[in-house]
Amino acid sequence: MKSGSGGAPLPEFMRVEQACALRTGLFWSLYGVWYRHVKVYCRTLIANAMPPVLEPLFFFTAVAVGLSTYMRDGLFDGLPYTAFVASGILASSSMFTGVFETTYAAFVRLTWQKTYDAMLSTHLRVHEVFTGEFLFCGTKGAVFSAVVMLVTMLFGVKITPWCVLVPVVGFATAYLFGAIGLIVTSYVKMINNFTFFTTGVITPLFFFSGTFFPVFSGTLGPPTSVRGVVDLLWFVLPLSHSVELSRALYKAQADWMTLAHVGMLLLYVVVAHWLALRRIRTRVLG
Amino acid sequence: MGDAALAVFLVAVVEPVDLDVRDCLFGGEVVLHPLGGAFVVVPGVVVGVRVFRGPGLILVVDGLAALQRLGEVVFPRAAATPYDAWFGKGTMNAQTQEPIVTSRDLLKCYGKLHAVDGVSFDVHPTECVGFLGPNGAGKTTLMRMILSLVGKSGGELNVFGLTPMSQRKLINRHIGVVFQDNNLDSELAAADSLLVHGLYCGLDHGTARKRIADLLAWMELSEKAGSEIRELSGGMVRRLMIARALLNQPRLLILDEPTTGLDPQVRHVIWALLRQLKRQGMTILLTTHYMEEAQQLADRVMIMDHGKVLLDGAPNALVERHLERYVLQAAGLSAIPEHDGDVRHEHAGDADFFYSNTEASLQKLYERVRTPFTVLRHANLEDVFLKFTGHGLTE
Ligand SMILES: Nc1ncnc2c1ncn2[C@@H]1O[C@H](COP(=O)(O)OP(=O)(O)O)[C@@H](O)[C@H]1O
Ligand SMILES: [Mg+2]
Repeated sequence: MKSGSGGAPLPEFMRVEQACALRTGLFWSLYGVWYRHVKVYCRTLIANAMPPVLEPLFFFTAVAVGLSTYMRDGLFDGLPYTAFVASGILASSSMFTGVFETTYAAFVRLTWQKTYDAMLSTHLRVHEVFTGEFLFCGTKGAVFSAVVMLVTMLFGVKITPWCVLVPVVGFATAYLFGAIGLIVTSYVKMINNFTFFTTGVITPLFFFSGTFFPVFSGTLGPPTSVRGVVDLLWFVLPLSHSVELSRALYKAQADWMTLAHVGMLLLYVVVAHWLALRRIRTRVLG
Repeated sequence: MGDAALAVFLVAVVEPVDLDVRDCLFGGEVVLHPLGGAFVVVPGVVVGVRVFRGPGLILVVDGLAALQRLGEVVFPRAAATPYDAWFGKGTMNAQTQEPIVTSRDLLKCYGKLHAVDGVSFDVHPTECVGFLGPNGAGKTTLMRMILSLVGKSGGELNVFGLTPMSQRKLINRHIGVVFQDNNLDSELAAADSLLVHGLYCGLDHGTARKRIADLLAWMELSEKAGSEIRELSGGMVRRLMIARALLNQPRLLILDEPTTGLDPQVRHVIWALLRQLKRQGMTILLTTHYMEEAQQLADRVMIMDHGKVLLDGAPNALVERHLERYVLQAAGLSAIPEHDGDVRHEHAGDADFFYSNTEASLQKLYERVRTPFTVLRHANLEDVFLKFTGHGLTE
């Protein structure tokens, strides 16, 4: 007979009661899910992390390093153009990594790999499974934003002590966009449909949230003029706040608008989190 | 003040209610509040729980220590439900005869389609029940309902005396499942893909690794611990999935078509492993469309079609009850031969079936219609199955 013929005795833990305290609290549930994602991600680290790290750096070299040679002495929102773009791009790279994880990757897990079935066949609840996933998005956002910051430093971008908080901004951004991505995924039936979202929503956010040029005039006024409307639209975009916060760290300056950005970012996180869990629940528990 | 802020953050994480207050997740006594919601009073800690329909659960927590305790699951003190009889302290080998699964007129509709259509049954401890049915019969849907992966549209379902969906956290802790399709993390090494599952189950790394090593040794897969899933054969993957299902010491094992698509050697290996678990007293639910598998493993089979249970009984008893002892099966006959009065004839496609309780009558027939495709044999479960689900395609 071939191997595994059932000749070996059952493992002891299947035969004799063993005292084993299960760690079923919220923290350990989130940890289990988070650990799985980290483990799988690290297993294919090079292939996974190359595009999201390289892409913002290409943008940075092309736009900031390239263009800034023509902009001698010009300051953008109080920063040299390279620092201006670096601070914007680290926020947008966090956005991209968060969105990717809960759109394409989550869709594959949901429909082909059936990863969530395996998770939900244990005591894990839907909100634990997906909050764990958002935390993983946040982790990636923290790492990527730090990497972008460090690499752009090699290009001569100056940082301030406040920049140790850059990973925090990266974390919140990726968490937020992880949740937003999952809301989209809860509606999507075919993987191709995601292109509507990435080109229709994410790309415009990337360009118009103040990443490459200052959109905001400086004061939020009533939307009676074109200027006022543009300012207001910009203030509603979910990425603007991350960009502004990371820029505040690079400038080492905070004012009441900074506080408003923190508030808006947190508000978006809470709303997106709540909505995403509500939506995905009906999708996975068919 | 700081504690209050933390508690509010927790609220943001707790999602729309799928939690019955009587879950007793926090232990203690439940006091219903006249304005709706409830309070759970745990000695030393007061936890207010307010349940709203829809939006969520608000937990008012008295101090940081209480918040931490919330994370830990405390079993209910008063053992009133069958669940406690099984899982209270020191009841690993409790001999309670309460059914583990009870289902009454269970219904699951997808639009107009009734995937599970009024199914009633009980599963008692240490029983192995086989759900036998063609593709689309509703077997997988039924298993997913037991696992709280699919909600019911009607009827009653209880697992360990609890209600699936609302009490999934307590139920699923004691269930192991082998899904129909491979859903191990194919990017990971075999042992790691089990480890992450152990963590989902709430094991710590050390315990999980120990159990994985034991299980792989039992299945003689130890040398494959470091191999990637995609390098493994179908049989190895299936055995790994069984190992994964056992990590949490389940009391109920659900196997959804555990040997579909495997070669005969591997099937026999897997049956041997499952029989070993059976001897240990494991309660098993098994879906299959292999009659032989049901006959090899199941104490009782339920033949399903179009979401309904057509027959329920021990495999041999079903054959005895519903069919003659012998069958002569012939293919491609040009004319139906004369046969004795005690022979019953059925025609399906290009095949003819002759049933009788006396072998001699069929033997006579056999001499006359002998072709390479004619067989005289005992009636088996497959004949019962075909009798009740029809010989034609059901899809
Ligand atoms: N999520 C779903 N949405 C719509 N129909 C479904 C869904 N899941 C299963 N079904 C239908 O329910 C029926 C039973 O399916 P299933 O339980 O998978 O059968 P089995 O496992 O016996 O092959 C099938 O007709 C299938 O198409
Ligand atoms: Mg099935």
